[in-house]
Amino acid sequence: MDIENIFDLEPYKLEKNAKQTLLTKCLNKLTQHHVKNCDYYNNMLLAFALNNSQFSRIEEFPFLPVRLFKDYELKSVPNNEIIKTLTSSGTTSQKVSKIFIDKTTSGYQIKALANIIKTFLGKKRLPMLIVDTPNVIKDRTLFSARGAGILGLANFGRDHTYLLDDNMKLDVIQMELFMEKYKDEPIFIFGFTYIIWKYLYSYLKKHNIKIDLSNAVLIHSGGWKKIAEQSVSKKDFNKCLFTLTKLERIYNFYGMVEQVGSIFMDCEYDHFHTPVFSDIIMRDPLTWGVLPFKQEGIIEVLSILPHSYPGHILLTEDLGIVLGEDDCPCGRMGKYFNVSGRIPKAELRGCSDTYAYDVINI
Amino acid sequence: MKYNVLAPRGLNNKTLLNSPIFLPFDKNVIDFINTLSENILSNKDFREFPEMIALAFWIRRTNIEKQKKIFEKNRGNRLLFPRGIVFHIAPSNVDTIFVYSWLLSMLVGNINVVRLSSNISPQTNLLIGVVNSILNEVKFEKIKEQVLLVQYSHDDQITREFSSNCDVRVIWGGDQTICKIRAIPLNPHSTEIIFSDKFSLAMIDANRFLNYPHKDDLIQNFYNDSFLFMQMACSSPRLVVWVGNNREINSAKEIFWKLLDEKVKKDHPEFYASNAIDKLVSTYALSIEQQIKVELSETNYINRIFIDNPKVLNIELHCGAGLFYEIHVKKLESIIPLITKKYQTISVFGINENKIKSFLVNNIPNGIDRIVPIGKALEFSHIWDGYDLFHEYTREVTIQI
Repeated sequence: MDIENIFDLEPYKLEKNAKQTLLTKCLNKLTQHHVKNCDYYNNMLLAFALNNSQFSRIEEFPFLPVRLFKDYELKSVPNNEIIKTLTSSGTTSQKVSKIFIDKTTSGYQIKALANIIKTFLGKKRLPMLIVDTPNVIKDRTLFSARGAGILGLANFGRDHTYLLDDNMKLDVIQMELFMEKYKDEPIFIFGFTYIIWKYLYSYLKKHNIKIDLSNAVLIHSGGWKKIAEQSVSKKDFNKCLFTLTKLERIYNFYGMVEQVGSIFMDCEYDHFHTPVFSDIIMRDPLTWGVLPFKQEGIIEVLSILPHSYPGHILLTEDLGIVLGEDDCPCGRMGKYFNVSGRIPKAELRGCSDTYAYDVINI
Repeated sequence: MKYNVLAPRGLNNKTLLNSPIFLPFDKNVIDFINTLSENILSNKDFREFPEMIALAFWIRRTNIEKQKKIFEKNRGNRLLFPRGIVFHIAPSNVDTIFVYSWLLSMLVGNINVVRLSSNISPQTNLLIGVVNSILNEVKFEKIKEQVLLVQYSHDDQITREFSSNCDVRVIWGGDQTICKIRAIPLNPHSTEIIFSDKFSLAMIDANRFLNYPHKDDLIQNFYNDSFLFMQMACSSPRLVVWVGNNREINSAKEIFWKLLDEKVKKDHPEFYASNAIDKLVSTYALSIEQQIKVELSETNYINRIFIDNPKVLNIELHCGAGLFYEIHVKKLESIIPLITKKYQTISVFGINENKIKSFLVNNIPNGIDRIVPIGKALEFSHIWDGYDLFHEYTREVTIQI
């Protein structure tokens, strides 16, 4: 099967052997494409004598730490084919990842995302509320992770309405007008987890506002670090939102700017799911070996979408646990997993984090 | 000026300016330093910090007496006085090596101001506690006027004030830090000592190693040099230079790394997942910068990178935590092009003093400050980074009548 045909597949219907075969084939092709078209990538694989290898399982492919995208501009297409650059800032340094997107990759991302999202929202475009400020998508060639997420998801909505103004203040009147207009049909709400918490939920709570969003589906993403600092769990988040808004259908997803499109959606049982376009492996930090299900390791993410940059097999800085494959009670096929958080920083910092006055010595 | 006084409680810069200075190796100072040693050794909290135990041993009375003898021998009949006030800017990481240079400065009679950054390591915190409790003893009343430990975050104004009042400024830190601080003027009569980031290597004669009967001891020594601080000490070897022909080197390497691997698996040095990622990032980054061959390793305690006949070596990307660059040479001279001012220690095995000496004298390398046997890389000496600290911390008065 060719990559184009994969988009005709249902995202959560392929059983593990068929998926393994399909992904291995696609990833081998992609790896060779990047070896041929990205000198840096070729050098990296050459160092491990893997630049001419064919791999027989997804676990055998070499993975790149995501941090490399902060230090190097990694791309596998000529500059004139790049239509946009996605950026993400890390939590540990001021450096940003730069992800170069061409038309092909962008197309794949849109198709993959559409395939995944429609199984949650249905095929029709729904009236859409965006819990953010329109400021984040002003520059159409350079996107932050937030901008990229909003623009990606905006494809599944219509009558896009941004709920926050330039100062991140909730526009309650706008929200009520929107809800009045669409009170009899399903609507779609998207936002980043901490922004929803801080600027929507906290605002409603502070001003004692209740609003009926029971006809809405909320999809949110963006990590729990900032929220977990306030001791708010995923359960608390859902419960709190329900209390003020009657929102019941809330889906979180795990995704990253380095692999836009092939996101991991949360199911009704609180498990992230791998769609047919992507997979996940937990690595043992001590050996880089593959950990069995139910053991916590460093999350490696694989995606068949990245064509314009060698980001198809990445080692994240997150920890997680694969819970099983093809047997989640929700009925979706593919591996399902939980994310436990960022890997703890070593006490003795490596050379990657040097600041003036804070430099490792001796 | 806003800074915290960490020790002694209730003193400020002004009182130090009027403090008397001592002659080198004054009995009061020796007593103080010895008490510090005893208190560290008897305090259970220090046990988990091997570097603090090593420090305590270095400053115990017998070694201080030894240092005194060295000092006196060098001095001869000359007249040496302390310079006055020494302002130490400590590195802002877990490193405690600055403590040695501060205590040496005390020993020769100086008044010392030590600036610590806002993130103080647990071991430094323990040390501050002990220093405070000793300074509160009546018998150390005079010493109390000799020491000031302060803490402030990046504030050039405070650094300027201390800099204009000191006779010697000692800066520990990375290049950026040092440049920033050096832009702050010193008093015209003052001098400055710089301890910057350094890179160190081990050099092993393959043939000697193959014939060496006590390989386990050597491995233990190399392990201590490398893994005690997870290669974060400047003098820990990050590059291993194998000397010999390829056949010898290959057999030596195989045995060496196998033994070290066993040692590491048995001793389980500190290991963090982030270290493994850092090393992978370093490895990939280096592969972009120069041609390398990654040697497969069973665990991420030890990761190795072979670099064939390098003309230059990128040492900036090295992140420590058990990452070893390796090169093969037939003659010592082959490493000369790689050596920059950043190179500090060569810990050697199987290469004798004469050979090393002629290698140095014939080539005059750009860097290299010390040659020690493997196992002594972390051992402090009053001569460090090319400075004789006894000399730097004193001034000589000549009498020619």
